[in-house]
This record gives sequence, C-alpha cells and structure tokens, in this order.
Amino acid sequence: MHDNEPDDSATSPERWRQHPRRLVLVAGSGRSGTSTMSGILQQLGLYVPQPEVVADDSNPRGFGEPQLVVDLHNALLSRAGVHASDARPTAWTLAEEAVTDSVSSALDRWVVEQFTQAEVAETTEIVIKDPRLAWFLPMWQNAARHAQATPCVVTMLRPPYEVVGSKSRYYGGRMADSNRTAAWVNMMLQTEHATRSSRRAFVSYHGLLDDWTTALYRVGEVLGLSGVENASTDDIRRVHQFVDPSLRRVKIGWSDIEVPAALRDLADETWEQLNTLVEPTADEELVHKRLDELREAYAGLYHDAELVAMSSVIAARRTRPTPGATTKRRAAPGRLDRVAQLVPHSVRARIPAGIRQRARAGISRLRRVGR
Amino acid sequence: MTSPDTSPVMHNLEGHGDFDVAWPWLNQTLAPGLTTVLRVKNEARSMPRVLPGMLRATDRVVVVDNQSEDGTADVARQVAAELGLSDRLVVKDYPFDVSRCGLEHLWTPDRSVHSLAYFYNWSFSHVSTTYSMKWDGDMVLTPEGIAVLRDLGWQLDGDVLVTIPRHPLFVESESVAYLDRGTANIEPYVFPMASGYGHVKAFEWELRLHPEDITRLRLPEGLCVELKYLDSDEFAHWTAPDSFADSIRTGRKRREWEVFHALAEGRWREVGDIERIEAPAGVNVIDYVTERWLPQSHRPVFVGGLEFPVTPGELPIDPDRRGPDGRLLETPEIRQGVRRTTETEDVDDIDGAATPARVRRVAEAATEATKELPDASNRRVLMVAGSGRSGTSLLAGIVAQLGLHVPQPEISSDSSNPLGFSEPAWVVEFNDRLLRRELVEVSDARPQAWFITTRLSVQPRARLLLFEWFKLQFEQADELVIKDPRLSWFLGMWRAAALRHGAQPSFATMLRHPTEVVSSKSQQYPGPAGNTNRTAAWINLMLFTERATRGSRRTFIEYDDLLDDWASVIRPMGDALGLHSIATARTADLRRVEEFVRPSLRGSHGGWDGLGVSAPVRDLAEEAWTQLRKLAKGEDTASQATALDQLRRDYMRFYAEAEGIVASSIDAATPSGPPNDAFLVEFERSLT
Repeated sequence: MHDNEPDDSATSPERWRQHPRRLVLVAGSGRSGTSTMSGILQQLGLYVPQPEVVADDSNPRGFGEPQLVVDLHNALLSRAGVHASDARPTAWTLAEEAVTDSVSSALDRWVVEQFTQAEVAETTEIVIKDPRLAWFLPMWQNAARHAQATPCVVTMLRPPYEVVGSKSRYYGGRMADSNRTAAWVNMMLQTEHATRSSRRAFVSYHGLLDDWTTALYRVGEVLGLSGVENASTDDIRRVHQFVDPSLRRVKIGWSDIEVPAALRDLADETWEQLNTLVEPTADEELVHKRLDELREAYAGLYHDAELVAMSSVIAARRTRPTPGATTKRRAAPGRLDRVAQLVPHSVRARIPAGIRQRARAGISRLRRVGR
Repeated sequence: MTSPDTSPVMHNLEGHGDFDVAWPWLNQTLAPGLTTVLRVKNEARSMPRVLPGMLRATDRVVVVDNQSEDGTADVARQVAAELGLSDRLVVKDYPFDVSRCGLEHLWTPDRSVHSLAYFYNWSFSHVSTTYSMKWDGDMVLTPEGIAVLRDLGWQLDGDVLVTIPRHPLFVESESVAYLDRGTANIEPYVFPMASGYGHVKAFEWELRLHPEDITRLRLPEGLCVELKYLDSDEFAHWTAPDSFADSIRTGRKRREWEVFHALAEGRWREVGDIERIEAPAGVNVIDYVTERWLPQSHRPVFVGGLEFPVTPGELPIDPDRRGPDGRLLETPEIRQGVRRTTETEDVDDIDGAATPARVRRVAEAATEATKELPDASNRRVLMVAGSGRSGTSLLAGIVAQLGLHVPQPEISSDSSNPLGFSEPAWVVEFNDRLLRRELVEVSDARPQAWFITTRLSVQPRARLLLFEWFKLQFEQADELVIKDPRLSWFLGMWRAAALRHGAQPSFATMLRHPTEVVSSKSQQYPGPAGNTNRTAAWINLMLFTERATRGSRRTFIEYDDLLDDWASVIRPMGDALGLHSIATARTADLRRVEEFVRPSLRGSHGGWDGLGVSAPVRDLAEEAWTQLRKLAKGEDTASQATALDQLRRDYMRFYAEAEGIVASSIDAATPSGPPNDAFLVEFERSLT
C-alpha cells in the first residue's frame, strides 16, 4: 500500500455492510501481546464493546478489554472456584459448568446488541479480548453463532519462559515459577483444543513486534477480516504509532527460572508444536494428534504431582476461613503483605507477641497459597 | 541506615586490605547449618566452660580473638582438641583496638576497623553455613540448650531469627553463685546468613539488621546463663558507668551494675529477686547450676515472666491426690480413659491461660531451690520412633515385658493391633493436640511441617506440661518407654524434657519396607491421601526422624529381624542404650516376651505392584530404605549421614517441585467464602 493510493472507503460509503459478521476472540496467555493484537485490530476499525477498562499506569495505552467481559469472566471464575491462571487440568470442566443456560442466553442477547452497536460504528467485526477468555471459549463461540457471526480466534504465542518471567522466587518453599509454567501449558493446550472448530490464526509475539504488517496481513487473510483487507493508510499509520517496540526488551531463557525438568520439557514441546501452527497450512491432523498426546501427558504430570503434594492440599482444606473474607483465594500476594503493613509499626509492636505470631503465620499461610 | 552489604566487599577507612569484609554468600554456597561466632578478649578462664557446649551445639564455631593477653585462643584450640572436635573450630585474630560500648563507640565511624559494627561484620564474614549465631565468651549452655540449638541447625527454614533468653549468674567462688531472677535478657542471636542481615551502628553498641516481617522463634527460658565473675571488672568494655546512666536502652545494664556492686558489698538481699545457690561439696557451682539446678528449677525463671498453671485433669496423675500408702492416684478423667478434646474445645488451649506471675518472694523461691534434687543417674527414657505400622508397638511391648515402664494408662488394644499399642494415653493426647493445632497430619509428606512442629515445640506451656508429666513418671520408675506414632514430630521437645530431669534419652527407630507400611496403612486408615502420598509421607518421616535422632544414643531395628529373633536384637539394643532392665532381665521375663511375640505375623512384602505409587516416589522410597537399612546393619557413620542428608535434600526439592506445580489445587482447597453471584444475577436480569 502506498500513501498516494486513493482512500476507497470514501468512494463507497456503504460497502462495509456487505461484509459478513465476525466475532474475533483474542486468546493466549497474559503478557503475550494480546493487548497489542486487540489494539491493532481496534485501530484497523474493529469494534470493541464499550465501556472499556480504563487505562492505568501498568498499561497506559489501555487494555482494549470491555468492562462487561472482564466482570462477567470474573464472576464466572469465582462461581467455579477457578483462578485466572489455574494449572488444574480439571479446571476447564469447572469453568464450563459455571456457565448456566441463563448466562448463555443473556450473553447471546448481549452479543447481538453489540453487533447493532458495531453497525453504528460502521463495521460488522467485533474484537473481544480478556486474559480470562480462554476459560469460556465455547460460550463465546456459541454466542457468535447465535448472532449469525463467524467466531474467529487469534491466539498469541510467546515462549513460556518469557511469559513466566524472571521472578524466580520461593513462597514457603514452593516454587512459584513451576505453577506459572504449568498454568501456561494448561491454558495453551486447552485453547488450541477448544478452537479447532473455529477459524483461527496463531501469531508469534516476537513476529508481531518485529513486523506487525506481515503478521496482521496473514491474520486478515485467514480470518477474512475486512478491517485488515480494507485498512486505509491512515489506519496503518495509526497502528505504527500504536505498536510499542520497547515491549521487545525482555531477554530471558529457562536458566533464569526454576522449573522441574519434566515440566520444562513438556512446556518446550508444547511451544514447539504450537509454533508450527503459525503457518496456517500446518494446522492439520498430525499436529493435532501430537497436541492431544501432550494434553494427556500434562494431565498425568499434574495428577502425579497432586498425589505427592496431597498433604499440602489437605492442610489447606483445613485452614479456617477468615471471617468475612469472600475473595481470599484471589488475593494477590502483594495485597497480603500490604494488609500487614497497613497496621502501623507502633500499633503492631503493642499487640501481644502470641497474637502477632499467629496473625503472621496466617498471613504467611495465605501468602504461600497466593501466587 | 542502609545495609552495609550492598557492595560485594566492605573496605575499612584505615585501608587494611587484609581486613576487608567479603560477604560469604557472594563467594560460596553456604552449607546448611548453624555457626557460632564468639568474639573474645581475655576469656581464657571461661573457654573450658563455654566452648564445649558451643562445639556440641552448633556445626562450627568461629572464635575471633581480639588481642587477648591470657592465651584465650590457645585454650580454645586445646578445649576443641580434647573433645575431638577441632574440625568444628575456626580461630581468627583481630588485631585492632575496638571501641568500648557507650560514648567511645558513638564517636567511632562505622567503617573504621575500630568500630564494633565493623568488627562484627568482619567476624561474621567467616561463617560458611546458612545460619549464624552471635555468642559471648561468658555464656554457658545447659544440656537442654545444647539439644535445642543442635536441632535448630537442621530445623531452621527461611527467614527466621531466633531469640534466646539468658540468665545472669554472678559467680562468687567455686561453690557459690547468685542467679538474678529479676532480669529478662532476651536478644535475637540466630540470623540467616544473607544479604540484608549486616551489622550497623546504633548509639551505644552495634545492631544487626533484619527484614521487618521476619519470623521470630523465641526459645524457652533456662537454656543459658551469662557468667559474671565478682572478682573481675565486668564493665571494662564500657566507656564509663554514666554511659548507660539514663537511656531506656541501657536499663538492663544498670540492673547488672546494681546487682554486681550489691553482691560485691554483701548487701544483695536489699536488691531483691536474687537467688543464692550453693553447690554440693566437690561440685563446681557453674556445672551445678547449668546441669542440675537450672534445668530442674521452676518456670518462669524470670520473676516477671508468665506463669502457666497446670490445672487438674491436664496431667493423668494428680500430684495432690495420694492413696493411704502414699502412692499417687489417677485423676477421675484418666480412669475413664483419655480425655479427648471435643470438637467445640479450642485446640489452641494447649497454650493455657497465661497469667502474669505473682512476683514470687525470693525467700519462697529459695526454699524450693535448696530442696534436695533427686538422684537421676539411673533414669532412662527410651523413645520408640519411626512410622506407624512398622512394629513400634511390638518393640515397645517387648521392652515393657522386660521391665521398662509404660506410663499409665495406655490406649487399649483394638482389632488393628491385638497385642496392644503400649501407647500412653496422655502422650497420644498431648502430641495429637499439638499437631492438630497447626494442621499437621500424623503421616504428613510436607518437609516444611518439621519447622511447623519446631515452632510448636518451643511453646513454654507445652514444655511445662511435659516437664511436670515426666516428674510424675519418674516417681513411678527410673526407666521409661515412650511410644506414639506422632512422637517423631516432637523428638527435640521430648528429649529436652527428659534431659531436664537428668535422664538419659535414647531412641529406637523401627524400619519396615515402605510397601508393607503403605499397604498396611491403606487398609487400617483409609482416607483422602492415596498411596503415593502415603509413601512420600513415609520418606519424609523416616529421613527427618533419622536427622532428629542423629548425635543421640540410638539404634535402628528392622521389623523382620525383630520377628525372626527378637532376643538377638533386644540384648545389643539394651547394651547400646544403657538400659538396665534389659541387661538384668530374668528367664521368666524372657519367657513372657516369647509368648508376647509369638502371635505376631510377618507382613507380606507384596512389592510395589498394585500400590499405584508413581515412579519417582517409589525410587526415592527405595533409596531411603536402602540407606536407612545400613544404619540397622551397624553403619551409623559420618559418610552415611552425608548420604542421608543428600537424600533428604533431594526429597525436599522433589516435594517443593510437586507443590509448585499443584499450587492451584492447594489454592482451590483453601476455604473461602461463598462466591459473589450478584453480578451474574444482574447480568441475566438486565438482558431479558
């Protein structure tokens, strides 16, 4: 495309109406460029249901996440007792069971309404992005079909060691990195499995940041997105200004994090297989079969570890719930630390040692549980 | 003030490159364990009393000699050599004048070789273990103190600092000393060796940094005395008495000054809370206080400390109820069987209601103190350790037939163990309540559970109950056998209680192949834990029991050997552990044992097939079994200890890995309130 090419959207104002409806779901683990992907699609004219979660310091360009989607996913996960980055292979069933018929039909109606809103914005394509989306892919695919839209899935791929990050730390002897890695394997394999019946594209995080034009052109082609196909030069310029090349900075490998060898091998193999899917022609039975085997292997690995660590599960089960605490299991470790720090030192010092010790034991127990 | 260890090497202002401080954790992998750092100056006199305890209690002792003129360093080397523990001693020479506490310290820059803070940082930089302990050249450990510190060397886990109360003992002569019960000196002594724990300068002296939210482990009283010789200048390291005249930080020092001078002038009765102790003829008073008087004296030692009265029913035998023949009577609760804790009863009440001590008048305390202490030389406590379903009941039963006393009443036999358990009901109740308080299972696979039970073990209330209970048992018999499958979790506390009574503790650990233990457990105690977890719990229990009994009189017995030929196992055990009853057993006793053992059946060793234990756990269990069996075959050696330590660390790592992967399951199992469905209800309604 060249700057001097005529802008065709001006010559045929109603052309967009002829395009089929698409509901684009941006999946993949957090910190894998999902915000960048949905942001690009938004710049290219796809509709993001409003209002969005407001931008903050941690993500100044905004999340591109509809507030309702985030609230809905959180409520469903809470009902299911599932954590946003849950490593349990059984968590998928729990999440699915939380989606009752009445929730489904409410969502169906909501999606229909969003397409009406999209048309006001002169597009038939909607993009939905939330890191918790993977847990509810069937629900969204069904809602898309109900609205006569084609469900499309873009899955972002980033090496697991980069996603897990370099926060190699122990909480009460437990390896926090292991759980993050396990959660990555769990999410990626399930996402792949759940999207086989949809139009889908796998996009490499590094590929996207190196040269988004190649990556997006291919996404547009595979998913049949008019927003990409008909992008104007202004759109493209805006995307160039939106994509943040400083995201490329992290350079780490497995040696920077603490993960058992068997799990690391499984994560590596998963990464390798998913990467072959970046090439759309590779998305066929042979790879699917290998991914099925990996999913089975992961379930086995998790099950074995669970048998060993059953003592910790039993001990956790017997801890007394904190009165009034309804969201304890989703409390971040940082927040627990802050609870202790909220009490000024002068006051803490006056609390009898025994009580303080017990409170601290309670907090450290929670901290061990949180991740 | 920021931590001094932010740069890899700390240089001194004077430019003495040989005395720069290089932080050890940056240059080497620290070995697990505890090192004592003793800074001494002219302490030759105290070395023979202080050093042996430290060498026994910790993995290494760094003696930093600061310009002694009385040969302190040589005496230290000589003491270690005589004990055969020279490999644990490191002597370093610090050739600079160090500013005295108080004003002189205040005016010395912290990076000067003359600064106390710099001196401490340099001294601790010679520690090569994961934990370090500051100690003074005049502090002497009791046997209980040695045992407790010995255990901490392997029990400490993570960011923990340990505070130890010490009691000032003013020594007048070889046979007379004065214990100050009016002073509670409780200082943190043990710290992790890591960045963020450097020494910095305070106003009067140095202090050691630590994170705000660190776990504190407070050790009980009665573990150590601090010697003050009335014939020496105990305040030489202070600039002048007015250095500590008015600050709240120096109140303790003022009390010391007051007591010291009152004693020197013979008017100590006016000061109050001072106890005069006179050793029996021919016994040195320091030995007498640390080995007998202090271990057996009333708790709290500090008159302002918390009293934990023992209420009737807590002990199986009420000391105030005696029959016409003078024998103790059992309390009604115990005659009815064990007093089980009900569901509604808070298990926390093992803490009891701590009431502020009535300040005991010195005269009253002195009456108790001068009471004749019983002869304890024949006292023995045999503790039967090891996993349940390994023949621990059988072993306890055999030694009971041979005359060791099983504290009464016992748990009655049931179908799972027709021979009876030889388990004292009170012991089971006591250990069970402690375990339940922190949610540790009898069979628990978590390596971190050992530190949890350590924290429980230092509770003064629990230790007091145990001490009182032992007192009653020794009125019944000299040789006791204690058996309970929960015992392994609290071996340190039980050993310490026996030591306080002057008894010699010993341990017999039963070994049985894990497949037999696990299949027997899965039949007798079905529950949520599967066989993989049961096997992991067996590894955890056995490897840590081995560690906990290391260094004590102990023996390991294979279950099959005991069944094959019990006599050839029990006799050598009795000799090795110095058990009088076994050495003097008569034919009639032996015949009774024969009848007792006969009905026991050999377990079937069905192997791993069919148990469904995952391969890595099975391999670790087999390896543990192979290594532990060597102990039963007489290979209880240093190299075997190294192999078992390695295996224990492998297991800890293995468990941490598994726990890491399944953190989501642990998270999900933690009870939380009901989910908040308000949003979903609103969402469904808003779109109809």
